[in-house]
Amino acid sequence: MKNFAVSCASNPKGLSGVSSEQSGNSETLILQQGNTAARYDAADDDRVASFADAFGARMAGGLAHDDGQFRAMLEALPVPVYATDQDGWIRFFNNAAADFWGRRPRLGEARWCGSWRLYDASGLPLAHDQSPLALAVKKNCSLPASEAIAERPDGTRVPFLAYPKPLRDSQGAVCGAVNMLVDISERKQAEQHQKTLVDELNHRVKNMLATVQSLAIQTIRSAGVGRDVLRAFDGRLFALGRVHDLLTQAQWQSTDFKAVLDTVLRPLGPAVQGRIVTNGGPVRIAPREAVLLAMVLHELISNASKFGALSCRDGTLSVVWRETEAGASRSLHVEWQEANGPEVASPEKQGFGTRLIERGIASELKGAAEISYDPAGLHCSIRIPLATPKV
Amino acid sequence: MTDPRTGETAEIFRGLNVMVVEDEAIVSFMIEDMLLDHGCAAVWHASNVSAALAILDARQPHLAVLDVNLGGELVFPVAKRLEEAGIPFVFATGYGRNGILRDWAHHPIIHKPYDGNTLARALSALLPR
Repeated sequence: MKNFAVSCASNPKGLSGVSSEQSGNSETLILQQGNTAARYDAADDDRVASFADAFGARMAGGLAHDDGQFRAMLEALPVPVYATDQDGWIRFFNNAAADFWGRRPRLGEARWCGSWRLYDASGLPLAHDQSPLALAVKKNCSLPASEAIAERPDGTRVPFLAYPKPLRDSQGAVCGAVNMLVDISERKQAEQHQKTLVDELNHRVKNMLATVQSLAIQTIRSAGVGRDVLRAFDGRLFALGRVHDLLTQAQWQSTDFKAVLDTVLRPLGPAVQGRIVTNGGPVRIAPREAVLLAMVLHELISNASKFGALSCRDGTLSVVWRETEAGASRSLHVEWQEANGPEVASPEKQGFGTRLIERGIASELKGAAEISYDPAGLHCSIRIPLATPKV
Repeated sequence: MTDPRTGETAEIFRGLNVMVVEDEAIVSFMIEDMLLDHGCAAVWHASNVSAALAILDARQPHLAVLDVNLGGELVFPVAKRLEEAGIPFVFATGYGRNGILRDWAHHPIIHKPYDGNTLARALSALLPR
């Protein structure tokens, strides 16, 4: 545990100390005023922003009545902080800022930001007079935390969040600005690392699916089984592959039901797609729900294409879904209705599709699915309790 | 196969030699079968970058199918060589378009697992009309 407090004589605004406490991976910023202390979680952007606000307000008083103690206190602050005059010329920076920039700009010669070079979050060059602090001074207001990248003279780049705030004198006129910089390299690295891992995992899963596909082809060919068997197998395997792609894009977080439905409808030709009506609002579903639903929808589509409404020219399909809420729990309801197709008859034996729809939904997702073989058109009703809370 | 542009059955791959770079043997059997089923004359298989470059030293394929990750080695030196030689190719991979393939996304990409028609459609789009 690292713990250092900065003591100094009380200044006109009553700010008596700024400190930081480190415990494990978490860091707390503390503003001390007389006998009271305000604590801010350094990992929480909103809390850091309010720290910057409170700090900036007190700093305006402190810089105006500087007795040397105030600067000493800022020097000891572990977070990069610098202050400028109303024209943006840097009048103060602490040691943490010099470490962050990798240089010590001359006071009064560097303007808006002390970094060697600046880039925006996407990596495009950013002029110093467009830096977050410059914009805050020019617009005369505190701006929400903005992300940018600083380059040091040695070429290393540091992504950071800036919390700039104009300082006002006792009459309310802008007399300068203060900026606090928060290094977010670790967060960025972790995000990139996670993305690489997910991409790598998907790559392996897809290769494994291709291997399974090849094994099936070699086996089926040597057994002299018809090509329609192979096509049915490919269809199921590809449905699984496409929903994995979708989930990889979503970093295996929740995804939208409509996007899952689209992965199933996409392989159909435009003429067939023109006979399908889909209707429903956004519904977030968990990866596990997405995988099973993609497989279920694929079975319904291939049944419709082989025997149902999509097997003839005039048949139509409607897929309508909605989300319902009861207290804290959410449910997804999907109504699948075929019409104007060949007359529907109940199958003589239960195939993989029916089994997956009725039993898979019930046992894996704790929901319910019912298929009715209405002669006018197959109808399937699905209800699933959703695992993820509403966003 | 049915040519998607004309809707007529056309053996557009007849007489063509295709290089397949794929590190997994079982997957390469399938790609080879798909290409031969569509009328290709010969399939030249390589499982790594140096074997693929050796093929290109000796012979000139009409088309190529490239897996991206060859047991940890990336296929891009082969892609660069094919670009220089003006030989069209598709990437056939388990990776998405935005990750590792960002700088190569102007070439067609098909996603594993895929069927013979998807491969044939991607390759036929590369042939001179």
